[in-house]
Amino acid sequence: MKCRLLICAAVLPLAGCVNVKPIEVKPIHVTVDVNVNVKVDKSLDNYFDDIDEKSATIVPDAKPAAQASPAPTPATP
Amino acid sequence: MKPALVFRFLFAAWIAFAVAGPAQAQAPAGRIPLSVLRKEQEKRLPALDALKTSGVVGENNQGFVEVRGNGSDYATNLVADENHDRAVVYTLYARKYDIAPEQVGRLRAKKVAEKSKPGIWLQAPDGTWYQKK
Repeated sequence: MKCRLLICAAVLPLAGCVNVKPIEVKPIHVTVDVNVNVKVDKSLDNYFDDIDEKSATIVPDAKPAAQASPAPTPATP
Repeated sequence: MKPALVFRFLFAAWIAFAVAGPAQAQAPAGRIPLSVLRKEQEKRLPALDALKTSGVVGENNQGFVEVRGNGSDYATNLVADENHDRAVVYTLYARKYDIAPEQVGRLRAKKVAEKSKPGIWLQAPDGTWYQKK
């Protein structure tokens, strides 16, 4: 009887150590979704850019800074 | 089985394939070349733009055009044709990236909302319609 009690007393404190927090995997999914959305966006742009450029109801994409007209240089005194 | 019967069966099968074949070839989304779709959409563009500018048609939050209120048969048919082509494009990219076509449509809707000119009717993600300012 004493032996059993001793075993219980030794094991019971350990029971609290088994509690493991679940691993949070949500951020990984979010990252994957964002990457896919970016890829889909690019593909859609490739397809619809020609149509959008001809459309009277859609403003065509702004051109990158390198292709736009150069910024005016400051006048030297 | 008699050879004449086999011949008749094969001939009937050939006729059935010849009749049904061309019609079915256009049905699956992946078999229509994108260039053909794009040309069809470009041909439709001036008429669709006119309907959008007049406020009869708006861009919904799923990437499709929608007749607002009571549209004419002309507007309804034009919108149906445009939406069919858009659905094919969305399905194609959905298959390519292994996502739902609805997700592709929503991404396009977001882009259209950003790029639309003032005065065009748009549907917000919550479903309400507004005129772009």
